[in-house]
Amino acid sequence: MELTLRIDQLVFAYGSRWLFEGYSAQAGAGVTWVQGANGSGKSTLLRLLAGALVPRHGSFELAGCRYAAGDRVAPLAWRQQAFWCLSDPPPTPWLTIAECIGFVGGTYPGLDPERVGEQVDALGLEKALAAPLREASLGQQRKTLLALALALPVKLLLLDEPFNALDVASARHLSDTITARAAQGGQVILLTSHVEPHVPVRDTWALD
Amino acid sequence: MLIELLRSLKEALPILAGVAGPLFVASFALLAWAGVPPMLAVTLSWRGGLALWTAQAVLGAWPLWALRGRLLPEAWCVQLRCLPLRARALAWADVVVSAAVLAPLAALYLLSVAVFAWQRPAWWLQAMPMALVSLAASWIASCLLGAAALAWQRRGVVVRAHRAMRARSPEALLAQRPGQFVALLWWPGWRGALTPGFASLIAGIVVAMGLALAWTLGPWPVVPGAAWALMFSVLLIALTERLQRAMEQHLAALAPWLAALPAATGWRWRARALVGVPMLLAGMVAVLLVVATRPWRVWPLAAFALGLVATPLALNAVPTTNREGHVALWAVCAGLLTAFGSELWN
Repeated sequence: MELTLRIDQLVFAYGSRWLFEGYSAQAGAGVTWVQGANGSGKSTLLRLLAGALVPRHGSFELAGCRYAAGDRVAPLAWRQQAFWCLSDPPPTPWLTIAECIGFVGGTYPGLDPERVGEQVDALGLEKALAAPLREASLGQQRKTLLALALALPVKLLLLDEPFNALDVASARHLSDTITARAAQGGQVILLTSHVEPHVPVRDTWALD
Repeated sequence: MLIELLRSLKEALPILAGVAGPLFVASFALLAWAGVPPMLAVTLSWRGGLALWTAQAVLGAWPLWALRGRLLPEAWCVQLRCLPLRARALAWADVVVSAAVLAPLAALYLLSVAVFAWQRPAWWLQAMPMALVSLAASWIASCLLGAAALAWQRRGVVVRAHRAMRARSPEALLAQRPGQFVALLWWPGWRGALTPGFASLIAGIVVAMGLALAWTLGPWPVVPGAAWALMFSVLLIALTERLQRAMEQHLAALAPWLAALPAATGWRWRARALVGVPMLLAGMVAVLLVVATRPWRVWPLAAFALGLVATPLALNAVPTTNREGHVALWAVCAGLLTAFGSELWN
């Protein structure tokens, strides 16, 4: 059976500002480009899917696991199969890059240190591993979570503006890896971007 | 920072005026004592005098040490390293900032001198003018120690960079799996991500234990036991409240991100429990001292111990954003702990 992410009747608002009023969509394995103007709810949709925000109504479903409005937090099984690579730096500036990777990666089952090491090398992070995040550059801060995003065996990858602040070589590595993952077909990749990403896009969600 | 402090004082004023007004007025008399240790030091033997003078100078510099992270944030330290400034100019700037921060202490010392000049006690007249020289030297020493604290803060950036260069291999670094308590609560407390940090908290707990010692042993009969109990209670409540505020801000920043990780939520409860640690630690020492030093009665001691446990629980139950509620809790808890503490030997 093909891997499919289903969003059903999603309702969400920040106070009285409604962003989603019964939004439904589905995405198969591969890259889905989430596009829209500033403030249209791209990042919010990823936050909702990650479990960082709680929907007012509606549900999400992926590989037999369901997360619905009314759940106090996203179920553990849901969080174990999803990884959210936020557009901001990790909110733990007191940790070194290696400690952040170790802490976040350690919460996921099936973390392969060798795969993490490969991604760290490919993104050029190996010399900065001992640096505290607060002293690292914005690009290095973003690569910290991207290294995990590309190494973890999750079914749902939520990438919020992943190409922002990356150097040319790292952006190319990210494109190549996402392209390879999309070809393998075992992962739903939701990617927000203001410009068209240089990866094979299977579907596009346009938010108003 | 000053505006923040004034705003919180303004909100707390009605409650403070109602509950602790008379106490406030009485406490003004204590201001005259601020300059006594350095002036008294010249009348003591050189060892005792030097110890007293040094202790006051170090205590005076403490605000600079406590505020060094806010006076010189890490990002500024990095920027300062890039500017074409001479080491002497930076050192002079540290001294000026230190003097500005300690200007209220200078005013307090002047007030103290004015009160003693008005009262003219015999020991003070005999110690003049060396007493004044000693007082001025104490303030200057505090300024220099404060400047050293700021220089230490600037140097920290370099030390951490060197440490990072001496780091282990990438494989060893990536093999680390810090647990939730260590990564989310322990390291932030030691690495300057929480205000107050754990070093300041430990200093506060040690001072509270010192107050408990002075209270139970009673080395200065002129100071009543209730005054020690009040200082002990207020210090511990202040530490608990500040830690709670820091934890609330810390958790609010982390919560959305952590909600998305497949991590257990036990760290939230541990963070809450951590808020009560200063009071429980210092309180336990106080109770042990009471039991060890004098004959004691069960019920007053039980009430005091219960108060020590209940205070952090009560403070935790009210978010620090409710300022009026917190100030009222401060007053009630401090009053109850002082009352229970005063009754221990009655």
